[in-house]
Amino acid sequence: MAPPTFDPTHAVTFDLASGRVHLEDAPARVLVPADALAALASAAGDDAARALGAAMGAPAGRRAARRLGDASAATLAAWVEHLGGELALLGLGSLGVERWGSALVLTFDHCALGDALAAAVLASAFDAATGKPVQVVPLARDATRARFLVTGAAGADKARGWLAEGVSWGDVLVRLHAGGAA
Amino acid sequence: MKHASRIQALEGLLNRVRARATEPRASQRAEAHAVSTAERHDPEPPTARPGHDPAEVGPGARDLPAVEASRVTEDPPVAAQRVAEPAPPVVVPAPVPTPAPAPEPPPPAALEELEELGPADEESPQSSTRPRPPADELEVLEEEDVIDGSPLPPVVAPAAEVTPAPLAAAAPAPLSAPSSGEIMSAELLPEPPPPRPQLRSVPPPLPAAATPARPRSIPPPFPGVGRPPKPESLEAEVPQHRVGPTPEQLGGTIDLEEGPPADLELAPVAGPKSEEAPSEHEAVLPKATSPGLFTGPRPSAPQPQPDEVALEVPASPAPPAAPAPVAAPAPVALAIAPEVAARATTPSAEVARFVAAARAPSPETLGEVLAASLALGT
Repeated sequence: MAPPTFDPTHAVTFDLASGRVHLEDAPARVLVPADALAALASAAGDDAARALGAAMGAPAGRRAARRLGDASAATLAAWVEHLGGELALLGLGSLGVERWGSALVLTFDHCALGDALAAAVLASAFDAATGKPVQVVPLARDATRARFLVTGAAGADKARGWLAEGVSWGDVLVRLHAGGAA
Repeated sequence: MKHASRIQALEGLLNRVRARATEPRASQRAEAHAVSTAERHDPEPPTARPGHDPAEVGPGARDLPAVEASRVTEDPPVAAQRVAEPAPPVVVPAPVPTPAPAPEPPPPAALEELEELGPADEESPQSSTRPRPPADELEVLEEEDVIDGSPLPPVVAPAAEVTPAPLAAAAPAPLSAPSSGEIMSAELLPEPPPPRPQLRSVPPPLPAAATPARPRSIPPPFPGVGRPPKPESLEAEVPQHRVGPTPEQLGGTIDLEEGPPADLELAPVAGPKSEEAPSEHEAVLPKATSPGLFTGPRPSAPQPQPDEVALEVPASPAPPAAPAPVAAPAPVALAIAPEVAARATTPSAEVARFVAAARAPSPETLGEVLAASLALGT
């Protein structure tokens, strides 16, 4: 059975009379410059950035899981379809999924946020949808695409260590599959 | 007795003629011409003139319109010809004056006297174109000239001749006047009549195509006055305008159709061209020449028409003397090239990798995938 497609009809309401912007049942939103928000998040530190990201991604994960019913039971494609739609409405970019072996890699194209804030948004969204605590490690970023590894706490620590050593994101994935001994 | 009386009358007349001959003839001629001219240009028709009896000019003169009369007056000679028309044998004024048919020849004595008068008496008294003498003279003649005790008949003929007599007025009466009138005419008109320019000035015959149409009001030329048609001249003009063969030439053509005799005809030339079918020719030609020197088209298929065979000769290939390099058919190579290139562009290594990387995707839920990914690094 094909997964239900994301329907953004009347997802955003611009109340010009009252000067508000509404996103379904969520409270009022503010359209702020992405660069200004990224600069603020980086300046605020990791805890402040994680809190900001959680405030942004948790509602999106919940709306996606509500459409899907049971997010854990949904297919990976359906999950990417609805979560990606919600993040698109926030203006964060286009979400994608890559599977490298057992590793689950999320891609963000045209991401307007920084790596730390974007990783916090994605982790909060998965937590709110599945109820499982996940770690999102930024692997790499080029001109258009940013890759994020979804893993547990042990694997996230190893990956951040290897990445800090200058190991490529491919070798990090290979090492993770090898048991993380190397 | 009768001759004697006539001789006396002639002598009297001769005397009067002599007396008149002494007078200047030029003045008399001018006077007569003036009178005739005045009468010619008289706008009134003859029937309307006072003192003029239409009966003198003949019956039917009253019925003629004035236009016809005026037209006749403009051309006195023609009028005279018209007058003479009813009696052609008598009146036809040929270019050469014919001798007057004198009723009786005068005696020799009278002839001698007449000869002395000179050329004035030699003219014909019946010339109807002679200018009319003055009217006063005519009157004098009527009153004085008496022959045999009886007055001379009124000189009607000259009046009818000169006056614009219509066509219908061509009564033969004036011309057929009594014999005595002839003598009177000889006296009244001693001078020879001037030459008729009208009769001599007949226009030369124009070509048939260039002859203008004659106006309807102008009568045709008098048949007896005008130059008679010359058959020889007409025959000379016909060849100039004739286009095409003459009857003689047509006859020659008929002779040619007969053709020369059979022995003079040329024998048919024996050669390759005969009445055989074209296909047979084509079968024989290659045998007559060697294959290497034969430059014509080789027989490929029987051609029904020889014309079609001739048209195909220029399209034959070049002679074998200049061997052309054997070139591969370019269209065939171009047709195969895309297939070969397509095979070459597909590397076999990629195909092997694709087959090796191919893996049947198994539907996995988000929970399963997430659990596997969370287990990494543990």
